[in-house]
Amino acid sequence: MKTIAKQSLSISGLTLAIVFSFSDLGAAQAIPLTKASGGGERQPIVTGAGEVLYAAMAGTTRELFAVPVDGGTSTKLTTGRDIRLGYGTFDAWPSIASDATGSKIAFWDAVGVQVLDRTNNTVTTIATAASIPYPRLDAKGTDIVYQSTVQGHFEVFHRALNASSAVQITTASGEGRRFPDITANRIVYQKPVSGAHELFLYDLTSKTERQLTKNSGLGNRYGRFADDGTAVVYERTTTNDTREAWIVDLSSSTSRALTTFGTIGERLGAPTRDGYVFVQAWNRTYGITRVDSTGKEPDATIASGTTGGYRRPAADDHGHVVVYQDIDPATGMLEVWRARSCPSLDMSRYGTSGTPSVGTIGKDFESWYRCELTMGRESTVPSGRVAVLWIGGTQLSVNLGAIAPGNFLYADPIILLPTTVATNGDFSVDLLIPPTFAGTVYSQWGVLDKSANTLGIVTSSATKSTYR
Amino acid sequence: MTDDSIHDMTRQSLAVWTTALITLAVPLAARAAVAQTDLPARPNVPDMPAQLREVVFGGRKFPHVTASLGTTKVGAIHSLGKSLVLAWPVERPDVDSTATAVEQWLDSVSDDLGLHGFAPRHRETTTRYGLRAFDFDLVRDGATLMDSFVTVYCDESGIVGVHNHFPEPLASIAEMDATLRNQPSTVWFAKRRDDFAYDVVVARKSVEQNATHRIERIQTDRGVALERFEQKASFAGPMAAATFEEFSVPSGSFPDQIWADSAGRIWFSQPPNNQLTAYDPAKKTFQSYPTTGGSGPDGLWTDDKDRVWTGLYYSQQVGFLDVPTKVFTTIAAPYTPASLAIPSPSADGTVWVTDHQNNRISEYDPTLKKWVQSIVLPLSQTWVVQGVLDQGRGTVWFTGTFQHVMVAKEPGLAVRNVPVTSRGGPAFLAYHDDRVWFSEWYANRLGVVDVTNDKVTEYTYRAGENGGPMSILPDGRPVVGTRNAGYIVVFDPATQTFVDYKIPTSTGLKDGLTVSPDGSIWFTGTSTNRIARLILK
Repeated sequence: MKTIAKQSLSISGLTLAIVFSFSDLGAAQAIPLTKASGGGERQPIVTGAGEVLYAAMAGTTRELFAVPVDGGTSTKLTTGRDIRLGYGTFDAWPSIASDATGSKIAFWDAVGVQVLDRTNNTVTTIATAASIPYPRLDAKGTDIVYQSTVQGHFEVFHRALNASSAVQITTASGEGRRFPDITANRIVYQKPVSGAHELFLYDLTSKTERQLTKNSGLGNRYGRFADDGTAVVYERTTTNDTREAWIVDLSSSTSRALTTFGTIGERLGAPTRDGYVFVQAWNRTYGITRVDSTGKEPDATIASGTTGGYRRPAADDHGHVVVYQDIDPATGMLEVWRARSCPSLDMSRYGTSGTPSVGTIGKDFESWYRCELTMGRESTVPSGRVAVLWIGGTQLSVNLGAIAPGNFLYADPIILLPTTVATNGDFSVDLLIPPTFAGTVYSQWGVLDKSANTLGIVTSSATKSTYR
Repeated sequence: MTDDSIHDMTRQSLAVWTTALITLAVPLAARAAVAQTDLPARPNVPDMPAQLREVVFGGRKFPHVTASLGTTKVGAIHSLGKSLVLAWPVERPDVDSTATAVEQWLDSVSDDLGLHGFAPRHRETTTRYGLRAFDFDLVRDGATLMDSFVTVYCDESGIVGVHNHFPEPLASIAEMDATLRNQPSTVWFAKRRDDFAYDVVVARKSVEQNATHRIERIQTDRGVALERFEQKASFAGPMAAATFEEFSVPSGSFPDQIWADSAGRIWFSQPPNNQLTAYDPAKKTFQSYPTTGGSGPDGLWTDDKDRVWTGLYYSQQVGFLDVPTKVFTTIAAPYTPASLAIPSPSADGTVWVTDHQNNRISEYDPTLKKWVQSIVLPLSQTWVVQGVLDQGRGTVWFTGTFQHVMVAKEPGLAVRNVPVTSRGGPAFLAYHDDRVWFSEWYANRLGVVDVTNDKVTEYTYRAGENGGPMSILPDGRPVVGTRNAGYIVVFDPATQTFVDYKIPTSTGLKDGLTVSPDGSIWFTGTSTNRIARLILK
């Protein structure tokens, strides 16, 4: 099967579009990652290391599991813990949290708040709060926040994991839950103000609190930091008692609506670093809709739920992968499902780089923004020079010999993507990767340098990229 | 709690049980054998007319006795003070179905009703339970006794039943100063004592009007004893924004309590059929699962592992259906006789189960597979209905309908009774953000306890619609199902206002209402053999 992939290329602000074809190994779609997980919810989360963490029954107890994000064998991470989950009308908030890589996982059981350190294979009791503490780890896995009751009210606690005790952040907060979240040195949580829960931001450095929202209406806010820490996604009750996802900018404290669904149901927004927010959308059952907080892209339906329970979407940094819970139609049990909006990518390097007449070609780098992949090279080549990325389907190792001593052709140049060297010496191109794109490609850079050799091109080492 | 301690507890309560056994006059084996249909006939006690079954909460399950009202032999339910709370004649007295005739008859039997000198005065005539309902205030010295009444239910042949809502047990009645008599602001008020008997005292009623509400306050010598809000605006909700869906139950009858599991399937109990039934809203299919013969699955609650817990009223057990495996497990009550009714969660992963009839709450640990404790409630005949958890404090709150109390069980402490001074009969309840909301079986009011100070406040909704089952929406709005014409009533705590939605056809709402994770309101039409959903947008 062949598929046509459209790729965009930005050069100095000018966007070109080229069309090329690759072998397609199958369209991306939602797949179940688990089976026979038992009663109750799964509450999955996805880590930057390509794993999905979730809760499932193991005999009579509920334990933590991990499964590769593209499917495979599940690994049981705890034994005999019987971890607890918030569930039901007022405890829709996710109960499992991890650092960015999933090496540390926070949960709670009958003893209290626990952190599983998968590196050391240890479980550490952080606090004895065992009633819906909803612990949250920061991305680095160095700090944790949770809620615990003090004189009958839930209060926010913070603890550096290497500290011996926690610090109480809020006092006399009043009714309801706090649902704290943490990023870097800031904590967001909700407290009642004039009959409505409002979001507050606490700065751990200055030890100051700031109210972020007002007039948010009935219900919980479920505030959660966007992964870049510049905003908080939350939800509020609006006209006709319907629920919408909102976002508040932390620098300006201005709020705006992300959705205008006009329906019942909790949104439980899962933000990403790249501005996508994945929310529950209700149409007889909960589905999942991707909304773009930057307003560039229209809403996109990610999944249509099959039953009336929560979907609880969670996404990776770029929104490539959304995990959620839905039933296995064969058993009726809630299972972990994964939907991909962009292929997974495994990269490996081979070959050596040639030597330009001025400077050197350094190591390669890549980064994602949504489904746009930036591939580039560090260098000390003067700015303004032209560099070309060529991409092919065959791995080569052709010594360019006399016309370019010390240079090799490592990939067949089917596609040529030119760019210029930036002032810092870096050069890169942006590739819009189609959601269904799959296969292996080989790429290599060449810097136009007529002083370097007869060919006038200095080649780089190469990259093997496998998209699934 | 060890088995020995449970035995000790049982011994301590032997006298209570002996009394209950005698009063019940229903052999346990007989109860289990007939649970497929209804309670057994009691020797020499006329059957309660079907129309009166829901007049008193749990009326069918209370001990029924014989008594007299004047020369009229009646079957009856005794009140706490042994006067009659509900009575139905063996042979109809010769009384016309008119307000005047009924009032004259009531005057003649007021001593037998235990009205202590209060005279019934006709207030209004309505239709309830398919009968003509003559409502009477109780008046003495020209002042009305707050929240007390006698209702006489009639059909075309005369009196079907009498409901006597007089405060019991009564400790004293004050003397009214002559200057206060026949004053509009003077009322009698049944004030709860520390021993939970009533002193009927003289009180002052004041009414404040603001833009949205009429606020009624009752002041006694100890300050404001009761505060009640009645909105001025219409109750009718925007039907254009509401969608009702009704589904006929294909197997069995009497859909009772209802709950959603984690996948959004809707579970409900069917006591007469000894089964639990699931409705899949996506597939629009029903699937029933048997409990055990003669068990009478009553209350129903689904836990976080999708175990559908149910009180097995007639087999002295609690049971749970494991949804993934469909295995039904039963657990014997830690005492006998037992009539386990409605399960609810604790903060520790245990399950509390009420026993209306035997005045107990019991805690079961599914992990240890043993009963942790079983508590005989300090007030006799509390008629404890349902529990709900305050997760912040770990307190489990229960409704005590017959004693008009909210019962708080805090971890490690003895149970505490919070009186509901208006005596509306707290029936079902829900918790959110430091407040326990409760419906009132005998009034068109929604009550709320502020758990930080035990203050009770009440809000009045559409007249003529007494409370039934309730739940709470994800945004914190309480929802009550009413039992006369049948409305789903939604309260906004921010504006203190109600909107209600008339149930199109299913007026048999009784004990079952829940909110599924997506915010849909589900309820059972017990007498119409339906379940229904209300979507508010």
